[in-house]
Amino acid sequence: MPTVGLTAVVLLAAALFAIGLYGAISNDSAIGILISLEIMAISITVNLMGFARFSSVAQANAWFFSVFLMVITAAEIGIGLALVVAVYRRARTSEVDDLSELKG
Amino acid sequence: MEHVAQNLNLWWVLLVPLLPAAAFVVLLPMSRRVRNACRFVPIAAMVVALGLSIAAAVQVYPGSHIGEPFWQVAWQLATLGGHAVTISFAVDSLAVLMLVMVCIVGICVQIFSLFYMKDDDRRGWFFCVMALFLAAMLGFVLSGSLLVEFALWEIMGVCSYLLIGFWYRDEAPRKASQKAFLVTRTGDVGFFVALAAIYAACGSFEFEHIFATVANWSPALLMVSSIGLIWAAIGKSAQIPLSAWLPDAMAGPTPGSALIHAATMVVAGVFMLTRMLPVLTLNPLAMQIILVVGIITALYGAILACFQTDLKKVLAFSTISQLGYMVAAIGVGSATAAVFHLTTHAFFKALLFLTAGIIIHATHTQDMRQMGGLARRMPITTVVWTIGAFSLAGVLPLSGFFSKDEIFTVIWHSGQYWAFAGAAAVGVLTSLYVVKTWFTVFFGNSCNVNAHEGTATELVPVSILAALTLVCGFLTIPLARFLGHEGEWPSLTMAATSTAVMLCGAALGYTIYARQRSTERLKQIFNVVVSAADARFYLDWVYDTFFIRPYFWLSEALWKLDAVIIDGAVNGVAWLYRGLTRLINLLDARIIDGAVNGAAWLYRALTRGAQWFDSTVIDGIVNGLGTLSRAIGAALRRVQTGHLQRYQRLIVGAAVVIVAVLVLVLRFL
Amino acid sequence: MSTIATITTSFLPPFNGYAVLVAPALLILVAFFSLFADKLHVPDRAAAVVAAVVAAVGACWMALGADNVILFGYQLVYTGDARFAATAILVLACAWFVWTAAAGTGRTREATALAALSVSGAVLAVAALDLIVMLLALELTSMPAYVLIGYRRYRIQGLEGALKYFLLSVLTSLFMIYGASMLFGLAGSTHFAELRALTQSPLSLLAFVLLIIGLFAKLSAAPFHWWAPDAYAGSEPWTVSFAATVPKFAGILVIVRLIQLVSTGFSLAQSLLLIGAVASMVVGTFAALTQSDTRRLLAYSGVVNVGYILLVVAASAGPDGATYSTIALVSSVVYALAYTAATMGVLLVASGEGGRLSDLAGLSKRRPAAAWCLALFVLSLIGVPPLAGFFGKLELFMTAWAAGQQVFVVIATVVTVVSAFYYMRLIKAAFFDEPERQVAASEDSAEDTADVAPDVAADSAAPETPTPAPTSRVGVGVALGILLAVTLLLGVLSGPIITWLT
Repeated sequence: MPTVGLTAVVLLAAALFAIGLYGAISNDSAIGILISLEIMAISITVNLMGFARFSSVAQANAWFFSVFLMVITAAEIGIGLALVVAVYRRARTSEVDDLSELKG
Repeated sequence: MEHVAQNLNLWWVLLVPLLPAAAFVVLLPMSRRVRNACRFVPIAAMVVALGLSIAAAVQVYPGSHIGEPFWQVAWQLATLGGHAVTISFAVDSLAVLMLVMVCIVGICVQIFSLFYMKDDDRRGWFFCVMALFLAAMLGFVLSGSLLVEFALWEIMGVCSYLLIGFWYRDEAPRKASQKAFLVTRTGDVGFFVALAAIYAACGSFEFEHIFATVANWSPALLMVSSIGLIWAAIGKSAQIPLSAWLPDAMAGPTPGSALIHAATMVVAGVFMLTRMLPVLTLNPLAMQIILVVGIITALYGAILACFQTDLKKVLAFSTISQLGYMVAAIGVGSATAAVFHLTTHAFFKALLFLTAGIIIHATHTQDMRQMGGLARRMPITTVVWTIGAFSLAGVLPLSGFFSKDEIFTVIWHSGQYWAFAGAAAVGVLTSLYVVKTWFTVFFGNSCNVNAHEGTATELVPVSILAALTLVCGFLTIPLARFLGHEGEWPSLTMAATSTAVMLCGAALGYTIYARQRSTERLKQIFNVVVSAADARFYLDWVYDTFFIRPYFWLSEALWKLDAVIIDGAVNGVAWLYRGLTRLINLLDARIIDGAVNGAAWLYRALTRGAQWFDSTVIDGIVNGLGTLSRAIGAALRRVQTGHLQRYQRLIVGAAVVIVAVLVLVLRFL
Repeated sequence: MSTIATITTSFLPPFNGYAVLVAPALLILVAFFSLFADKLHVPDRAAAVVAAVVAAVGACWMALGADNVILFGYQLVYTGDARFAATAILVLACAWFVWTAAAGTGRTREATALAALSVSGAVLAVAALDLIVMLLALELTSMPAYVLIGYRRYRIQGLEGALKYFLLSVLTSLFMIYGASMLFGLAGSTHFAELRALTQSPLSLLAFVLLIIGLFAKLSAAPFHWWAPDAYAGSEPWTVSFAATVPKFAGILVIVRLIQLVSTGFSLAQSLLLIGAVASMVVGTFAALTQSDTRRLLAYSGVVNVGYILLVVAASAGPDGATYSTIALVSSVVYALAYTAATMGVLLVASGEGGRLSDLAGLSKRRPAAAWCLALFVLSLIGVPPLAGFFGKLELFMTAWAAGQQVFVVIATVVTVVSAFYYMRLIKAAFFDEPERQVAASEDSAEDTADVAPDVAADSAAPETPTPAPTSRVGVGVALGILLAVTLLLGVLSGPIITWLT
């Protein structure tokens, strides 16, 4: 087994991304989807850090990229949870399957 | 002494710890009912493991020096700062010996538990934890690096915690398991410090590497690592000053005590010191410390054993004392003596514990003062106990005699005569309490009229152990040769000395207890001693005042955390496993169902499309165009089902399809 | 144009450089102002008025600035096209703010704040030449849109649409960001120019595909458009008119610039864009044919229009894309503006009525001016000369044809013809349909006009309804007028505009 290198980190990020993706498309509850999306965001951060550590990218870029990504993710989760709360208050459910009035 | 060529391929020896580990993993996620039904699985695993161990022993016969492996394997995990981190296992003759011993004792205990735990609701869990423990112990003796040893050491500690606290609904087992865990944890700090020091000294945890470079270590690091290892062994093997947990650990089920606190886990400390002897012998101070600790512990244990009224507590203190013997043997540098006594002790102590289990089960009490005259009612038990107890006392020709004598011999030859005196005193006390127990329990007025003989499931394992106890002594020379040394029978002088010592104690015991004379007068004479002994020489009081009280609340909090985390972690792992299984089932169902539904839908859509196409051709092109558009529109609108997950899956599916098209059709990658 | 710039720069130093960011900065301030309008005891719509003024000022500021402002080390570059796009966005925003100030119902101050933030993000996004800036700006643009869609939080349809929009958009955004991170790792930098120089490898192509997929979803291009119909159908036309236009416009500009600068490094860009274009055109057209809801219809029409734009962007992505890149850029920007203005116009007209086609019935009798505006917007969407839509489409198809995508142009033409059918239904509804003899308006409008008490507990069945502020006809007229002006004049002024853009 070689030293932990770029390939390993990128594969880890890809695996995490896939896990998050699977969770996002298979979850019934909106909160579960949010969690899976969060996992996907984390995987991107891992990806970036892998590149920062093991490859010759501009380090500052990678750090700022991931910080901004965290900012974006935080904002999105805030909005997402607010939406889920609003939906729950109105419809008493947070299962996305129950919200299918709009179609066509 | 010829060495066997070291080119054997013994990869299958790794199966020995893996089989009970697999049994554990299999039992872990089961529900209680199923697990209770499957409690034979670990036994089967252990039987196969025993077979493999014996085969290994045959393969490596006639053995070699300790530390010269016949086969080893290492997996490199990662590279940290230039040094490789590896997991390695090595099979040498010591490991093979231990494998056989642990497998035998393990199987006997498990068979015994079949009966002993048969009314317990959570018996499956008991077997499960025992399987994990056996896996850890077997892996422990096979470790080729200190890191692996440490990991399995910790796992054994966890199993001990789980087994002591098996009946966690009562207070005593809970407190006892907490105490055991915390005290051994204190010892583990030493292990950790030693690991750090060793890594700093030579950059690796592999035994081979350590032994190869140890001559060049700085004295400071050598001392630190030695002290650390000694402290760890003190904790694990219940030496002074960290022995307080072992007597309390008797709150767990007796078979658990038999396995863990007599035969296997507590000897892990001794075993580790044996492995690290090449390092320790370079440090005379460390060896001296080990010897001192061993002798003092042996005395402590033996004295207190004389004052106990609880049958299992006698055995517990006796274990402490015998462990002291083993540690003392290490202290004078003789690994063979220590290992020999370790092996014989495992057999007869496990035997004694199991038999105690039979007795306790029969008389429904653990208090020896309420037992008596059992020899008449439980003959087989009496015979078996006698064998074990006399072996403990060191009676010819039982195995305990030979192993004790070997320890006496090496202590004598080391020139530390004070240690020899101490060991002899311990011998006296040992036979004293052995005889005391023997008479109190089996002879005299019969206190229990309903005591019945044990069942077959109970008696078969103890008989096996008894037979081994009888026979093992004669394996002195072969065993020593197996471990790479020239063994010899105890010299006549030594045999005479030890027998004399034994008889002395026996006589004392007989005098005091056989006629059931009241010991009140004796107690008045030796009042101070008795009260000190009652308080276990104030060791516990010291702990309580200076360590426990200040951290009382902390330990309560720690216990709560422990119970939540450890129980929760174990349950959580089981839950996770179950959840994963359910997930996979669900996925399966969805895929299969989805495929079937999709095929049906496709067929229906195709049929509908064909019918519609027919009517359009007849109706005319212009109208047909409009209808076509609208129909396609309607079909497309149907895709927009309103279900979010459908949209998400469409996105992912579309992405996959697009990539597929780009790659396969347009050949872009 | 440059003479004006020279004159103004002589009065207002330094006009170049960071001053170009005055517009987004002011808008952010307006956003905070709107949010704190409570504390400042400012009436609800005043925030929208302020926002409209600021947007107008910003539009002028952007329009009159000098060319090629390079900021932050080439991460934000305001070339002519970026400034045109920024101006266009600000004009659209101004129209929307005016309408909100004039006829907004219920609480509008948070909507103003959200829109202001979104516009400032859009203004930044059109100038981004760096992956990080692009991602941040796009997120800033779309996040307020999520909330706007769910603005009336007592209507479950709106919330449902918002949740779907949000989750699908975040999912695809994460695709985009993942692709961007891989590209960054492979290229060593996030700048578009560095990406163009990247040696192709399966990984980089895959990452690029992910990036483009994310952008497709932002633009509601098929097959990633699923959020659009539900999101728009659930919400009221007023908020949809913003959320369907400004974020899309920014997204279009982003993808145009991205492809223009980067596509030589990625051989599959053209195929990918063509796949998206064809899918969007086909799916959007046929799905729109049988719609009975204005918002949903416009959602699908948006899909189709994005398809047209992707077609011409693909022209600039091919192997000889450099020759077409400028003309592709021009035509796509112009067409985007035409489409966006017309859509916003239609929806604003519909805001006064209701979201369904049936709500528009009898419009010509109730509000003839609005009905004629609607007609003009719809004709622009169909592509009738001399309106903006016609010129835009013409440019698009000519560029695509010249770039060798003849087959696709044929498909696009067919689609345009078919699209007339469903666009005409809007006109038909407004002019030729009789309204239902109901006094009570449709369920949508009733809830639209109901004010919502701000902190009512969740279980309230009927929120109390204070008297809504009076609608200012003038204001509505102004808003629609702005959009109408764009629609009418864009085609006529296409010459000078092209000069500006290149």
